[in-house]
Formats: sequence, structure tokens, C-alpha cells
Amino acid sequence: MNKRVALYGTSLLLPGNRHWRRLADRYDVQFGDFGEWANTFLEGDDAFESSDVLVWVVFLDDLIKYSSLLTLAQSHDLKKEIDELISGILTPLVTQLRRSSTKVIVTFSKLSFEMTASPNLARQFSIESIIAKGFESTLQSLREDFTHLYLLSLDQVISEQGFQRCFDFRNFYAARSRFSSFGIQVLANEIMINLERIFLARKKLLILDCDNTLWGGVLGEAGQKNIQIGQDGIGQAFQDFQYVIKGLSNRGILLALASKNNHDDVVEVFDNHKGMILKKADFVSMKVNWEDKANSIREISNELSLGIDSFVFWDDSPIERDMTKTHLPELTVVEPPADVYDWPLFLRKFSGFSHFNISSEDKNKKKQYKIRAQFNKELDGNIDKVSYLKSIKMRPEVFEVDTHTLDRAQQLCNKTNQFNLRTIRHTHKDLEKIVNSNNNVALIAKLSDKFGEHGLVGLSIVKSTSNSNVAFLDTFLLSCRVIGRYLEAWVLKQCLLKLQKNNVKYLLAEYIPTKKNVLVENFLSSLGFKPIRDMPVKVLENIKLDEISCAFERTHYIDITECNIPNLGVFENE
Amino acid sequence: MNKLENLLKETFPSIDLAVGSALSIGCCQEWDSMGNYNFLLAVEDEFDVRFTVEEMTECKSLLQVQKSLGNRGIEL
Repeated sequence: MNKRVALYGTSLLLPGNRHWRRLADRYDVQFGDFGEWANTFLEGDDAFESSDVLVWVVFLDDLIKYSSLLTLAQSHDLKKEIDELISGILTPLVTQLRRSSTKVIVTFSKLSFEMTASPNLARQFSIESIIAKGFESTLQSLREDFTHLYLLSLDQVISEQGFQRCFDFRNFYAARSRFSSFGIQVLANEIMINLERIFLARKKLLILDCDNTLWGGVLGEAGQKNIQIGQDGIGQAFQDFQYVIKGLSNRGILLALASKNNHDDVVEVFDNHKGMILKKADFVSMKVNWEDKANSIREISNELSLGIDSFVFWDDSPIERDMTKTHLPELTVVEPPADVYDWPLFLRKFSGFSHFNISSEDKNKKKQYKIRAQFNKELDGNIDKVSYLKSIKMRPEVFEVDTHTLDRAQQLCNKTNQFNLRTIRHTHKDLEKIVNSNNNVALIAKLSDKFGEHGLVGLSIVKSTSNSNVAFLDTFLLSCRVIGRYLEAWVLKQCLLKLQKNNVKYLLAEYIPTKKNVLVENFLSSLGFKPIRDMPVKVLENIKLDEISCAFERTHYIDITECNIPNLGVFENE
Repeated sequence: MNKLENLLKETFPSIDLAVGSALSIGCCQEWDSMGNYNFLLAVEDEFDVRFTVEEMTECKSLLQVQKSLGNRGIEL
């Protein structure tokens, strides 16, 4: 079913316009009645409460009339009056945010409002510009208080596309719509990009070619001295492109190379060329060889235990792009603009990498995936897995999920596909409820070993049932970067210890198969869970499976007092 | 179907083009005042013209739109 999106505007958004069609094809779009946004936000509206996202399109000109500006100009305490004005304008929004956890995107433009300021005020800020700044900074501070509020300034894209093309004053006076036809198209596109930023999983890895991608020229032919990177002109464009890539890396996007070149020549460029912004250490994997690029990408996927559907491939050569896409249809292959000059902006705006919430875990990802690749390499060379795992000194820890770890817990629920027993995508609000209920057990797990810290990589949520002897494993997942270390056994053990303290005797669990979680198909039986039909009849009689929405044939149980979890000996602290 | 009728069908999918000269605001559910405005914007895009405020508020039928286009030398 399509996600539901409700749209409100301070001026008319021209519902039914042909340029909304692309958005309407992908989402179930509903337009609020014109002029009704304030009432709806203040009092709620059943039809819109069920929306997944509410988009409020705001023009400051609609909210602050010329007459108010004239009054303000006479004020003796301008700051106070402006603060009161802004607070009044935003009261309906704050009421909506407090009442409902529905995501709200405020997409706003202050450009036309600021442009109305008199040009003779060159030596002081105009009232319009003070109001505009105050409005934006108040919205920014609301974003701190409400995690379901997202802000999208339209002014950047309007400037890029041209104010005169996006706005049409005739439409405003004839139909109370500030946009031109083209402006509606721009707005609809921006909203679509930002809905994708909310709903679609962010891509994890950018795979880059080298020649004519990271630098101009062919290294093998031109030599290191003659490649274009950092010099005026096109060399500067390649360098700016590298700056954008570096920025993505700092925000947690992993980088890899897939280049047909001599490995040592490429390494030398990274080590010695003064124009290079990217360094060898920025890459989690470097496949520089003469092999087929699809093979190299498959190898990267194995090394990092990441699905190819989370990769983005950037190569200047249409032939390489086409061949790779043919072999790896799940790969996102970028069609870059023809001119390198346009690449930096194009990459910066690429929606696959832009996301609203970046946790500190994201920022440390590069290091953690390098550790993962190193682990896999060493494990491949060791026949005795248990001895090897013992030798790397693994020290897991678990903590109860609290306000500090709630964001990461939600991120794990949303993003983990492979090692995920039921793939329940809990919202922030769901998790808050679960954590705040005394009888539930929500544990988040951390792992360190001789390679370093892996961060918060596992989550287990056990819900109580109306039968105090019985609990239910609602969520059990591990990040793919720590799979293959028996960490699941250790986390389950901690869970069971906790339940035992709460006098729970049986833990129920269910595996819900998806396209991606075949990895955990045998998880329950391998840790000693048995099918529920084998449960003592007296206990079974008192269990209501409806209550936990579990399918009988998939449900398993474990007797907490009698179980014996295997493979715990590999951990240092066991 | 000419270009203008195509646009009508695209903007108002339930329209019955057979009614001919009666094609005007209110002849189908989607062709209300907002639909009319969106139709005129689509005509502007398609024929690369710009109507005046008066035309945007007064053109409410296919014939009137044809006339406005005709005034700009566009015959259908």
C-alpha cells in the first residue's frame, strides 16, 4: 500500500495540476482545504491523522501581511514584537507536533517575502529579513524538540531554478497560488526527494572508478604527473568532486574503488599526488585490477557482508556502467551528467545518500566495516573457527535501551534485513512505549574485540504476555557487520538471565521469513528452541497467541530454566 | 483528437468529448474552477503562450480557449 501524504499550503497548491501527478503515482496524496491548515493543526482532522507524512508548504508572505509590517515599523520594542509574531504563527504547528507523532515536513520559502523589503535600507537589516531569520531559527529550534519534524528550505532550489520561473504573481492574484506551473513541478519534485529521504533506506557504499572519474586522464597512459586533479579548470572540478565524496564519507557513506588499472600506480597517486583530496584510508575496499568490474563489486559485497542493493556505482564510461548493470541488476548505477563541471552538485543532491537522521554510529561506520573486512580475511585463513574467535578477544556487553540509545535501536529496527528474526519496523514512538513498560525487556548489545569497537550492533526486545510465566521475543536482530561470531547466542543468554530474574519460565519466538533473512532460518532450532506443539499441554492451554499476533506453525519456545545455549565459550567475558 | 482535446482528456479523465460545443466548466466532475485553472496552465505550457489575468478568470469553455489561442495566431 502506498504511503499517505497530506499536503497543506499557506497559499493554494493547485490540487489536480498535472505536475502533482508523478507524486500521486507513488504516494496516496491528499490536499487539505485551502486556508484550513491552522484549524486542522490546532484541532486535528481524522482524515489527515492517519497520514504517514504531513507536508506544510509555507510562504512567509502569506503569514505576515504588509499591514503588520507597517505597524511593526513603528514599534519601540521590535525584537519582542517579532518574537511574539513568530510564536503566534507557529502555534498551530507546535500544537500538531505535540498532539501527533505523524511526521511533518515544513517546506518553506522566505525569498519572496525578503525581496519585498525596501532597497533603500542598505545600512541596516530590513524588518522582513529580521522576521525571516527569526522564523527559520525558531523552526530549527523546534526541530531539536520534535524528532518527527523535518525542515526543507525551498529557497535553494528556487534560486537554482530561477525565481521568475518558479513564481507567478498573476497566479497569486487570480487564484491565490504563488507558484507558476513550473514552480509546482519544482515543489513536487523537492517533496518527492524528501519523502524518499524519509522512507527509503539510505545507500551505504559508493563505488568509484579512477580514470576520468576521480581525476582527468588515463593514469596508465598519461602518468601521475599529467593527470588532471587540482589544477585550474577541469582539474579543479575533479578536486571539488572529491571534496563532495569526502563529505559523504564523513557522514558515514562508505567508499570503495573498482578500477581497471595497475594497483601500485593507483596507490602511488593516492599516496603522493598533492591534488588528491581522497586518501587510501578513506576506502573500505580497493579493487584495482584488470578483472570484470561486476566481479570486483561482488567481492566487495562478500568482504563487507553488505547487499549489492545498498551500493551505488559511479563510472564515467557508459560501457562499464552498462556491463555492470547487466550483471548486477540490483546495483544502483549513476548516470552522471556529461560535463564533469556538473558532477559536484549532482552528487551532493543525489537522494540515495541524503538522509535526515545521521547517528554517531553512521559516522564511525567506515572504521567498523574495515574491521569487518579484516575479520573476514583472517577467518578465511583459519580452519578452526572457535579457536580463531577465542583469539580475537571478543567482549560483548548489553544495556537496557534508554533515551540515549533509542535512536540507534530504531535505526537497527529500520535497517537490519539479514539477521532479523521478525523484521518488525518499530517506530520511535513504538519503542518508547515498549521501553517504558516495566514488564518488557529491551536490550541493546555492543561488541569490541582486538580489532576495535563495533558499536551498538544488536537488539533484543522481549514483550510480556498476560501469562506471567511466558514472554515473547518480539524483535531479535544483529547488524550484518558482526554476523558469524555467535554474538546472537550471547545476547539471547543475557535476555534469558534477565527473564529468569523476572520469574519468566518460557520464552516464545517466531521466525517470519522475508526475501532477505534466510540467514536466521535455523536460528531458533540451533539455540535450542522447540516447536510450540511440543510444549507441555498445561502451559500451552494458557497461552493466547492472538495477543502476540504469532502464527502457531511458526512459533517456537524455550524452557528458560533448562536450556543450554551453545558456543558461549568464544567470548572473553563468559 | 486535436492537441487541445488531448489536454482536456489528460486534465479531466472522465470527460465526454462527444458533447462538442458544450465542453465547458461543470460538464464533468473534475472540471470545476480549480480544474479550469489547471487546464489553462496546461494550455499555456503546451502552446507556449501566457494568458492575462482576465483570460484566466473568464475562459471557461473549450470555445473560449480556442478563441484566446486564435487571438495569438494559433489555429486548431
